Amino acid sequence: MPTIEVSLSDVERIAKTYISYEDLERNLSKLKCEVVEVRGGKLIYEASYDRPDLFSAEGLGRALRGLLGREVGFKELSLEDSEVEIIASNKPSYRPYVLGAIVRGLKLDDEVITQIFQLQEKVHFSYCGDRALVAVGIHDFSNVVPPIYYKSVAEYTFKPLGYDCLMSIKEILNNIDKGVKYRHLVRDGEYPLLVDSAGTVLSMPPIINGEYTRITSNTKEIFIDITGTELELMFRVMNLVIGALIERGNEVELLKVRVVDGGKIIWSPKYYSRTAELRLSSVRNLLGIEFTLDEVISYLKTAGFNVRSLNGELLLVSVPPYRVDVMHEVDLIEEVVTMYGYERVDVNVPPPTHAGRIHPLEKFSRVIRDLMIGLGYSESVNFMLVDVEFLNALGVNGYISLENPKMKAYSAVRNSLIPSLLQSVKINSAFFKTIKLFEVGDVVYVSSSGVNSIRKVGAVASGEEVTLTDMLILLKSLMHALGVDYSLRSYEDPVMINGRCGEVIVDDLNVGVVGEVHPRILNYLDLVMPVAIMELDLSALLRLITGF
Amino acid sequence: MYRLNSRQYSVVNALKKYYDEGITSVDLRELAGSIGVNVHDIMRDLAELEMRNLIRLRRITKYVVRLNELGVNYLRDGLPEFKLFHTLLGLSLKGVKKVKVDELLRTSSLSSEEFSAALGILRRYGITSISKNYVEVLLDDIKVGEFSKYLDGLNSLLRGLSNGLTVDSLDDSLISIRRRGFININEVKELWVELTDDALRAVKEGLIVAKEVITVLTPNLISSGGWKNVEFKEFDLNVEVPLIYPNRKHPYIEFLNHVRDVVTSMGFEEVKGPHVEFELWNFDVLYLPQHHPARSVNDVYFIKEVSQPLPTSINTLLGKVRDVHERGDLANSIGWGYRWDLRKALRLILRTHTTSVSMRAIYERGEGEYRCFSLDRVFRPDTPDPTHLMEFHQLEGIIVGRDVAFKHLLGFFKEFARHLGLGEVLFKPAYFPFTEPSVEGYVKHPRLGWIEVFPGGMFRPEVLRPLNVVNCNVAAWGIGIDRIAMMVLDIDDIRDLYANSLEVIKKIKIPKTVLGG
Repeated sequence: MPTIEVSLSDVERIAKTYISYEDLERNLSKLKCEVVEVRGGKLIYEASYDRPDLFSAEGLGRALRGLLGREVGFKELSLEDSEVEIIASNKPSYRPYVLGAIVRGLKLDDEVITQIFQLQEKVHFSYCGDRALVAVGIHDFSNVVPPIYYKSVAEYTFKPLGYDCLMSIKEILNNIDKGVKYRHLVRDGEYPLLVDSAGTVLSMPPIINGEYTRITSNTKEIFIDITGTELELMFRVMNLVIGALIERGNEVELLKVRVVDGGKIIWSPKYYSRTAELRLSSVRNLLGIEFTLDEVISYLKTAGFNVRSLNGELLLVSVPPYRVDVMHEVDLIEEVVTMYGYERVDVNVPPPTHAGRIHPLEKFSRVIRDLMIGLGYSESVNFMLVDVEFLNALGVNGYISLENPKMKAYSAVRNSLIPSLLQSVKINSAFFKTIKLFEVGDVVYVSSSGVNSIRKVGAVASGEEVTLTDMLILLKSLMHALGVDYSLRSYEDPVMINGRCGEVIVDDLNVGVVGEVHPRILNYLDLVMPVAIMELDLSALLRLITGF
Repeated sequence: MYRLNSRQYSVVNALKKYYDEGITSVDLRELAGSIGVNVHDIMRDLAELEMRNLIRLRRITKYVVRLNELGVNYLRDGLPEFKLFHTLLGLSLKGVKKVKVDELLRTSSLSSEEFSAALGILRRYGITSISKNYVEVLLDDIKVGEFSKYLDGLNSLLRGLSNGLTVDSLDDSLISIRRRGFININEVKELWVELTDDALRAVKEGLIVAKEVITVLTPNLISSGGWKNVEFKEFDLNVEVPLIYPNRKHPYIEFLNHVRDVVTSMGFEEVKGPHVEFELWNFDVLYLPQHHPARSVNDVYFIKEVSQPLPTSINTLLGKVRDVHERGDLANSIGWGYRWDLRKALRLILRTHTTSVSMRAIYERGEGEYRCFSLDRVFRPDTPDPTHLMEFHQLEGIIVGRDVAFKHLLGFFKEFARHLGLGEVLFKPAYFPFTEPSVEGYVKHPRLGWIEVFPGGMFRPEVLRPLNVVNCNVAAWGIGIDRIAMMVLDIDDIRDLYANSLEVIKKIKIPKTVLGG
C-alpha cells in the first residue's frame, strides 16, 4: 500500500476544520487508510490502491471535510474551452496519446508543491504501471508559448528538471537517475518530447520534465500533460490530478487543451462528473442491512457524492471525476456501509445448505498418515520449493524452475518427495542413529501432457541395519492395509543403486518407486548411514481404488 | 503342602520359635517387631493364615486406668467427704449438734457439687442426718470407724492408680470413682497370635514352604498355572522411568486438518486446484488489472519454459474477461480502461493465492446455493524470516447464494474465530481489487495485540459475470492460516511450523484447541 506523508495543518486547511487524533484514527479507517505515525505536525498514513485520490493532502483533506460534516457532497466544476492546443501530428508511434489541461487561479506554497509531486509519484507507481502506461507532467504555464507540440525526436538538448545545464537526450538517459530508471520505456531515436512554439522543452515523457517550466510558489497557472499508451486510463489520471489541484485555490478555473492531429481535434480531457444509478434493493441485498432511502442518501453525501432520489427505490448518484475507484454500483454500496460503520453491522451466518466434506484426496491422506504412524514412521513437512542445484545433483528431471527466484535454495518446484525426504534425513542425522520419516505432500510434475499437481506419500528409513528390505516391508504392509494388489518391476532411478530399485505397478500403471539410495548421493549429503526410500502416487492410487 | 508367601512364611517361623521357647501365644506387636514389619503390613497375611487354620487369633480388650488431674488433687489435699467430716468434727467439739445446711456449706469451703457429694456419703455412713434445712451431727464411734475404713480404702485405691493400672475388667469401685470423675479409662485391644495344632504338625513334617518371589511374569508361568505358586515382587511405583516421544503426525498438518474439520462442520466442501496456474485464473478473472503492482516480478514467481494446454472451451471466458477489464459493459461497470493482453493472461506462475481455486470452482458450478473451501499452499517471492515465508498455506472459501450478504461474511468470521478459540473479531474496511465491499478482520494476539487475520469481501460483478454468475452474490475470504496456526500452537517463528527436526516435532504438546475440538 502506498505510504503518504502530509502536513496536518495543510490537511486541516483543506478540510476547513481542526482535526483531533481520534478523528484521524476513526475516519482514516473509513477511508481504508491506516495511520502509521503522527509526529511533529506530520501525518504518515497508508492509503489503499483503489483510492489514488487520497494519495495527497488535497484528497485526504477533502474526504475529511465530508466525514467531519464541514461540507457534504461536492462542487461541480467544468472544463472551459481554450485556444491552447497540443499538436500531435508527429507523435511517437509506441506512445501515441497525449492530453493537456490548464488550471488557473492557484495559490501554491512549498507544501503544496511537495504534495503535487507526491501525488504524481504515487499515482505513477500504483496506477500507471510505473509510467509505462501513463505519465504525468506538471508545469508552470506562464512562460509557455502555445501551441505545444507532442512529437518524436531523434535527439534534442535541454535542461532537465533539477539540472542547471543543457543535456542531450543520450546524456539524460545514460547519466541521470530518472533517465536510467525509465529509459526502457522509450525507443532509440524515437524519443517523445513536449515542446512549445519557442522550442522550450516542457517534458520528455515518461522520463523527466524540463527545468524551464518548473512550478514554484509563484506559479498561478499550471499546465498538466498526460502521455501514454492507454487513453482511457489517461483520462482518469488527468481527472485525479485536476481533482487534487482544484483544492488549491478559491476561484479555480479549468481549461481544456485540445489535441490536434492533421488539423482535426482528436481528443481533449473529460473532467465531468458521471451519473450512476443505485437501487435501494441492491444496497439491501448485497449488505443484508435494511437501510432506508434517507440513510443511503445521507451516507453517500458524507462520502462526497451528490445524490438525487428519483423515486423510493432509485437514486441518481453523481460521482466526482476524481473518484476513479467508483466503477460499479457495488462501489457506492461499500461507501454506504463504511460510512455506517462495520462495527455496527448486526452479523450472522445462515445455516449451511449442504453438508460439508473434505476433499477425497485429503481423506485418503489422513488414512495414509495414520498407517504410516502405525508402521513406526514420524511425519515431516517440507517446502515445495527446492534448490534447483540439489535436484541437478540428484539427477532429477521433469521439474519446474522459477524465472525469478529470490534465493537459490528455493528456485524450483519439487516433482518428487524424495529430495525433500533426503534433506529431512540430513537435518536429523546428527541427533538420531536410526531415522524413520514420511511425508504426505504435493508435487508438481511436468510431462508431455502438461503440468500437474500430484499428491504423494514418501517414506525414508536410515540407520546402520537399514536395507531395501525395510522399504519392501513398508510397501507390502501399506498396500495390504489398503487392499491393493501390486507388483514390483526392476527400475532405474538416478537416486537409487542400480539393481536395488523397483517401480511399483498397479493395474499396469507405475504408481511409485522403492529403492536403496546410491552412496554417491549419500556422500554428496555427507550422510554415513544407508538410506532406503519409497514413494507412492496417492492421486493415482485413489483413482485406482475408487475408480474415479 | 502349604505354599506361603514370604511374609506368611516368616510369621509361621517366628511363632514356631516362640513356641520352642515355651511361649505359645504372642502379642501381635511383638510378633510384627520380631519379623521387622509394621503391624498393618501383616494383617492380611494373618487373616489368610487363620483362614487356612494355621494360626488362631485371640482378641482381648484391656483397660488402662489412670488418675486424672482431679483425682491427683484429692489424693494430695484430701477428699471432700474427708474435709466435711473434719468440719463436723470441729463443730461437734464446740458442742454444736445441729447446723443449717447453707451455713455448713460456707464453713466447709467446698464447692456446692463437692459439698452435696460429700454430704451424701456422710449421710450414707450415718455420720449425719438431714431434716428440714438442718444437718444433724451424729458422731457415733462405730460409724466413724466404718467411715474411716472407707476413706483408707478409697485413698489407697487412688494411690494405686496414680501411675496407671491395666486391668482385664472394671470392678464396682473403679466404676464408682469413674462416676465421680477421678480417673480416665482407655480401652486397649490386643491381638494374640498362636499356632494351631495343624500348624505345629505341618511344621514338624516340613509341609510349610515359602513361595518363589518373581519380578517378571513369564509366558510359561501364565500358561502352566505356575503363577499360583509364586509371589510377585512388589513394584516401587515411584521409580523413574524413561520418557518416550511417540512417532507423531506433524503438529502443523494436524492443525490444518483440525481447520478442515471446523470448516466442513460449517457446511463447506473442499476443492483443489493447480499450484502452477495461468495468470488468467490467479489475476485476470479476479479483475486485477494487468499493470497492478501485485502482478510484478517482486510479488509473483514466474515459471520458466513450460507450456500448459488451455481447453478451447475457455475462449468465451477469455472474451468476457477482456470485456470487463477494458470497458466493463458486461458487468454494468466502466472497467479499468486499458487494452487487455491475452498473452499476459496466459503466462504461467505459481499461484499467489488460492482464490484462483475459488474462481475455477465458481466457473465449474455457476449459480446456486453452495459453499466451497480450499486449504493449500500459495507462493510469493520472499526471504524466510520469523514472519515471512515464500511458501505458506491459505484457507480460502466462498459462500454462494441468491441472498448471501456482506453481514453473513462478517458472521462467518466471528463463528470461525469462535471455533478456533480466537476470541473477539474487529472489522475494518479494506481494499481488494476483486471484492466490494471488502473487510479485514482482526483478532487479539496475546502478545502482539490486534492482528489482521481475516481478509474477505463480496466478489465484484466484474469477477462474477464472466463466470456466468448473475443472480447470486458470493461472499469470499482468503485467510493466511499460518498466522493463526502460530497463535494456536504458540509459535513465534513461522519457520517452526515447517520444522523437520524430530527433536522438535516429537516433543511438541498437542494444543488444547485441537484436543478439545
